[in-house]
Formats: sequence, structure tokens, C-alpha cells
Amino acid sequence: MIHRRRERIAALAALGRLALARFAVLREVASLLGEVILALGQLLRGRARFDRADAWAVVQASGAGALGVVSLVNLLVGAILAFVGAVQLLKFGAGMFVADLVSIATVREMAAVITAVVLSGRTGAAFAARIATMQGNEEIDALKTLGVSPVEFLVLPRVLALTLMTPLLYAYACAVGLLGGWAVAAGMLDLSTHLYWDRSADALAGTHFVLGASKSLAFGFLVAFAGCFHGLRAGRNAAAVGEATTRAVVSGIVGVIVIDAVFALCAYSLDI
Amino acid sequence: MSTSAAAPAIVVRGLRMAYGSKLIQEQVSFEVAKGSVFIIMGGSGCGKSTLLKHLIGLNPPAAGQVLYGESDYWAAEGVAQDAIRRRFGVLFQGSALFSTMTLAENVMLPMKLNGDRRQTAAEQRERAEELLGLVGLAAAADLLPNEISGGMKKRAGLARALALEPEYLFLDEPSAGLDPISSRKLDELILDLRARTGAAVVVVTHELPSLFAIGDDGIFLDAESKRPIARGAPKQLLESCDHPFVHAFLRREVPPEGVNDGSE
Repeated sequence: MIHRRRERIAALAALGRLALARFAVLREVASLLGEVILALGQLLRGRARFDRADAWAVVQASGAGALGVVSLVNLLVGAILAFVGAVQLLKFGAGMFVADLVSIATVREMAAVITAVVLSGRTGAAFAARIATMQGNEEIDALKTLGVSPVEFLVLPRVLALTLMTPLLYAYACAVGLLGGWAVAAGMLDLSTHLYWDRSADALAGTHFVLGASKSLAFGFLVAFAGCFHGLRAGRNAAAVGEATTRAVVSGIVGVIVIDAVFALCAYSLDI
Repeated sequence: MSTSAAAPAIVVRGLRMAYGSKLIQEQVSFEVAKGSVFIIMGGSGCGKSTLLKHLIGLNPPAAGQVLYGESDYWAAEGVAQDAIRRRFGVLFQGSALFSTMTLAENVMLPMKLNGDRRQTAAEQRERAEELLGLVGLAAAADLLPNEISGGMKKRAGLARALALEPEYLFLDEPSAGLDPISSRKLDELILDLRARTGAAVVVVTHELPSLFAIGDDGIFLDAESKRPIARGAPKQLLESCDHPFVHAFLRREVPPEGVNDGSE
């Protein structure tokens, strides 16, 4: 009887500890978010201190550097959508509507989500690894002793770069995804190029682009923030770099899906 | 003990160091004279680097004061704290050079961030080359940190620490991981820099040849009692300190039975 009661108390204590730990993480997230907003204020007043050459390198790596993998993945996703759609639509003799399916799914949903997932595994992980390594090498401490906020110097350029580059990559991913769909439609369904692009143009509305671009903006911020957050929280050993990278990727991808679900609910409520 | 009659450069009073509820050291008090080399000694894990972090403003202490001249670092806020910190030069244990920057760019960074705004990039570069020359790295100015040896990294870190002509120079394990010749050269460089700049130098080390070669004064931290157990110049402690652990440590001997081995 006493033993069982002790077990119950231990389980409750463990639950309490877990809740407190989660709450502590949320407080850290809120704290970093606040620091990023303050650093943005400093930037707008022209007082933010960061290395411009490093910031430009981050912009290039986050944007142009990701074009290859974004192209490949979105081309294939566009093609896959067309394949899956074609198989079902052909049963109803509605093969030509594959263009509608691919264009709406790509522009509204897939280009933004798939690009964000790719960026989480590529750029978010790189941010986490870089900052965690700097933590281990005492480079962050060196910045602090120079009176420079690591948030201003490291986090702000990364968050801004990826937040601004992701919508551009999204626009590019839309074009590549539609191209993938066209390749399948033209090759498998004998749909003419003219008809495919005409149907796509008819099916798409400005709201689809606005929705996709808004999502990609939020995804870019989230992926960069997750990478920097886990990098800054990392311990000071080699294993910590791996752990930070894994956490950044996992939280980035999960966050993207959660935000996408929130967008879907909002879009449904607003009848967009 | 320091014999300088002038006002001390650094005064530490009643410092209590702790990580949460875990006490590291308490009742840490000492003074560092201007232009002297002060050694923080002790076994592994006794809190030497933690003490240094309290001194350079990275970790706030649980209690106590750290005064630079008349200014209490941890009581100061914002701009006042920044002004004190600009007088620091810090060499970290692993050098902490920014890996994406060349040695010259590393040395120029403090000048860009905190230096004289009227100084042009060319002037900063010239000063960086001069400092790298001072530590014997003039030819390596355009190399990246991963292209040089550990000893060269330490010297480059030292050049960066000197970039803003600091009044207080903090060196964390400067000779750790260096071969005896590089270590000896670095010791000579530290003494040379102290003579040139007049800076108060605080060194964390447990390298015996180094601490005897450069130390004017020092404090010995004990992991077991979590308090300082000896104060004075390392050579003086070697001759006269009767604490069995300090005695054994400075003679590189195994402590007698019943005396802690310095680790927790």
C-alpha cells in the first residue's frame, strides 16, 4: 500500500519536473524572440552590430545555395502529384484536370511546405551546427566580452536572411513544381503544353499565391529561429553539436507542419 | 602578496560562485596590482575558469563584488558596464578565434566593434598586422585559424586580446596543450606585453613552469573546502606555504594520505 503510494507520488513528481522543464524551454523561446525583436529595432535604427560579410554569406547560402536541392525536390513533388492525380482522374475521364490539381496543390501547399522541410534539414541544421560549434569554441563568449550581443551578431542576420529568402525560394519552387507536373501530364496523359498551362492559369487565383507566400515567410522565420535557438542552447562538447542539429531539424519540421495546419484552419475559416 | 602601494587595478571582495544550488567557491577575496601578473591556481574542477568568467563579465556571481578601479562591474548597468568591459582583453582557453575570419580579420574585429570610429579599415588592418607582428605572426595574417597550429592560435588570440590596448588582460590556460618551447615563448611574450602595456594580467593556469615564470601574485582555490587556501606569489608559496595540498601541488607530488587530491 505504502509502496504503491510512493510510486504514485514519484510519477507525479516526474510529471511535474517534465512540465517545469517544458515551461523553462518556453521561457527561453520567449526570451530569444524578445531579443530578436529588440535586435531588429537596433537594425532599423542602424545600430545593430554584425559582420556584413558574414551576413551576406548567410544570405547567399540560404538563398542561391539552396536552389539545387529545392529544384530537385519540388520538381519531383510536382511530378508525383501529377502521377497520383492522373491515376485517379483518368478513371473519370477527367485527365485534363491534373493541371488544376498540380497547380493548386503546389502553389497553395506543397511548394511552401516542401521547401521549408528542405530548408530545415539544410539551412536550419547548418545554423544550429555553426552556432553550437561557436559555443564549444568559446567564440560566443568572445563576442560577449567584446560587448556584442550574439543575437545581434549571429541570430538576427540568419533569421532575416532565411525569412526573406524563403518566399523567393517558394516562388521558384512553384515554377519548378508546375514544370514537374507538366512533364508528367505531357508525357503520360498526352496533354498539350498549351492546355496544361491554360488550365493551370485558370485554376490559380491570387489568394493561392498570397497564402503560400505568407506561409513561406512564417516557415522561413521558424526554421531559422529553431536553428539559432538550439545552437545557442547547445552544450560545449562535440556531441552537443549533433544534438543541437537534430533538435533544430526535428523542431523545424514539426513546427512547419503545425503552422501549416494553423494556416489551413485560418484559410478554411476565412473561406480562402 | 602584492607589495604595490598604488591603488589596486582589480579588487575582488567576498565572491561567492555557484551554479544554481551547487556551490563552486565562496569567500574569494583578492586584489590585483597594476602592472602585475596574478595567477589563479588550483586543481582541475576547483572553479578557476568560473572565477575568470565572473571577472570578465560572462557569469554573474551569486554574491560579492568585482571592482575595476572604483567601479563595481556587477553593480553597473548598460553603458557603464560596457565601458568597463571595453578595457578588457581576453584570451580564451581554446583561443576562440572566429573560424570564418583570417587572423588579421580576427584582430580587427574588436577595433571594428568597439574601437575608434574615425579609424579607417586600412588603419585597422595596419594595427592588426602590427599586433600580429608583436606575437610573431606577421606572415600568417591572411591565414584562417584552421590553417595554423595550436600555439599560433594562442598567439593570435593574444594579439586579438591586445587590439584595444586593454588595461586588464585575462588569460585562460594560455600554455595548455603547448609544447615546452612554445609554452616558454608564450610566457616570455606575456611578460614582454605586461612591460609594454602596463596592464594588470590575470592568468588561470596549473602549468607549474608557467606560473613560477610569470606570477607576481596569486590565489590558490581548493575544490574540497570550496574556499581559497593560499594567497601569494607562486614562488613564495612554493617556499613557505605549509598547506599540504598546495605544498604537494607546487612540487608536483602526490598529496599525503588523508589530504584531498584536488578534485571533487
